[in-house]
Amino acid sequence: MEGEQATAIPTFDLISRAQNGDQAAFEQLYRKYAGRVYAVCLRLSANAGQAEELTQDAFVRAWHMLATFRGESDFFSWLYRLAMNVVFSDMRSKRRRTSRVMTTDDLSVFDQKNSSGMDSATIDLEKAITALPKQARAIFVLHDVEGYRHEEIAGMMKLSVGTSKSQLHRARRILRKALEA
Amino acid sequence: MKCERVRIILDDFVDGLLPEAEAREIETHLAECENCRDEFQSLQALLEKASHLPKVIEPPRDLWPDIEAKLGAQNNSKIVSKDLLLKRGDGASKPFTPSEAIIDKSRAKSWYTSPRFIVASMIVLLFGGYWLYLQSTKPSWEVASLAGSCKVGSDYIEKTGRLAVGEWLETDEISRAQINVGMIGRVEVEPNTRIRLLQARVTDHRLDLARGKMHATIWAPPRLFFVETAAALAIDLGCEYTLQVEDDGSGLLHVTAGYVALESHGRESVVPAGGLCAMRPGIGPGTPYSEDATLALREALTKLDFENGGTEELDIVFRDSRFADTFTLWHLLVRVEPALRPQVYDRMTELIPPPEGVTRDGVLRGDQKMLDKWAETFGLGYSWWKRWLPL
Repeated sequence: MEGEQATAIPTFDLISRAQNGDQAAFEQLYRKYAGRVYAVCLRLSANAGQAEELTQDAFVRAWHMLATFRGESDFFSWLYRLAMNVVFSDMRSKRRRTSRVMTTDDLSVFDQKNSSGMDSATIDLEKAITALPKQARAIFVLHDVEGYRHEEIAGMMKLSVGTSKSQLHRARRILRKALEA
Repeated sequence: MKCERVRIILDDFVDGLLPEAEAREIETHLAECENCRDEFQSLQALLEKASHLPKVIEPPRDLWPDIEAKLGAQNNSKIVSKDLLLKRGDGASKPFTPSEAIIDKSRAKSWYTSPRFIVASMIVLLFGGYWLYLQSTKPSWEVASLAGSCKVGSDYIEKTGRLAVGEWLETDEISRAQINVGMIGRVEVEPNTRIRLLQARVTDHRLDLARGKMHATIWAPPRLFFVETAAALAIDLGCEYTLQVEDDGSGLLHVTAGYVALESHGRESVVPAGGLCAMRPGIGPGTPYSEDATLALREALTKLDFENGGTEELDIVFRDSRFADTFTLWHLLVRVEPALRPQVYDRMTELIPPPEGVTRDGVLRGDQKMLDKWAETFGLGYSWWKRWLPL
């Protein structure tokens, strides 16, 4: 996973201060990682409004779980895993019965300028990803965009490795057809 | 290595998950096969694009004020405020910190001893017991793990378990399982398979094979065991067979004993022992062929069945067909365009003359009784299973 970027205040200082109840330090951690967490929440949920809620939930949970972060792993990896748990828990609970396909307004999120910039081919792919079936979409995003292995995905999503592989195959096939159409 | 196999494992190849020897076989195949090379390049292009998707997308608005409000609200909620607010040295209350919250959970009131919790638990137990009773009376078949651990519903089975009506059984890349089909047979489920029990009645034993591979051994009278797939319904006629379904819903049936019928979209194929039959979603079963049929004959059938093949392909079938392929020609009699049927009829008569009472005109106009009578002369025994009435 992506490593941490250099900032004016070292991340471990921010974490340490946040663990001692300093919300201002936690806000800085939020500002540093919000874009990464929101990006994956958006791709997995395919719904901009839901992605905002999930991002908020992930940071709220992170605040309450900060004491369990012992520094054995990269902080972002820890935060990212926690965000994934929030997303998959939400998917399983089916609390939010929103459509899996984004609305036209939602798609405009991908047209916004971001740190990497997006060309039209990238936007086409983002839109095609949103139209994938829920499970296939999650596995494609985790494997081909975020770089997780099937074993890790199977653990996070409580699936078998075989299911992860077959859903990835399915997602890739659908995307190739969509992009070639 | 065949194209079909290459397409299946191409994902593992690009992900670097194949053993070296198999990866080399793929490389060799890709160097020679333009179609598979196109597939490979298309997949690579997709992965290239995916790898360039931005890792950072900033939220359209600042979410921090909402997060901060939630943190404040939760710090003052009934869950944490009363039990977890810490009394400081100066006597003032202060919101707990994350570390303190973890520590203080141990000091929380023993909620599980409250009367309200005890009553709620009893209700849950009563309903839970009733639910378990209902589950135990739901029709189900026994499942045994043959390798690894398969998944039934949301549970993993290490040794034995039950597959209830409506439940899915899934195997991963290393696991295999056996399903006992009531009292009438068994089904072995190969790795990477997803299969569901649809019916477990005395007169209707029915599975849904979504993907993967299964071997069925059935010792019941015909038409008691069925397997639904995206492309066709497989009807057991007292037999042993292997059925395989790909991710795209296409499939292949291989019968090793007895007969199996495939039905879908108004098409019907009867496959005898030693025969195979491909099927495609939206089209149905193709024309069955012998496992000894030449590669050219099989390819010609694929074009005739699924790719608008015509006289050129039919000529190949005529050229390569032998006595063992008469059941293939018999199926073609009613599948090819009427103008081509006389040619099929003539080739069949060269291999096996029609019995008394079966006329050229009757066969060409599709007289089912004559077709059935002719089929019986080369052992297809087509008509008997249609007349069979299940229990």
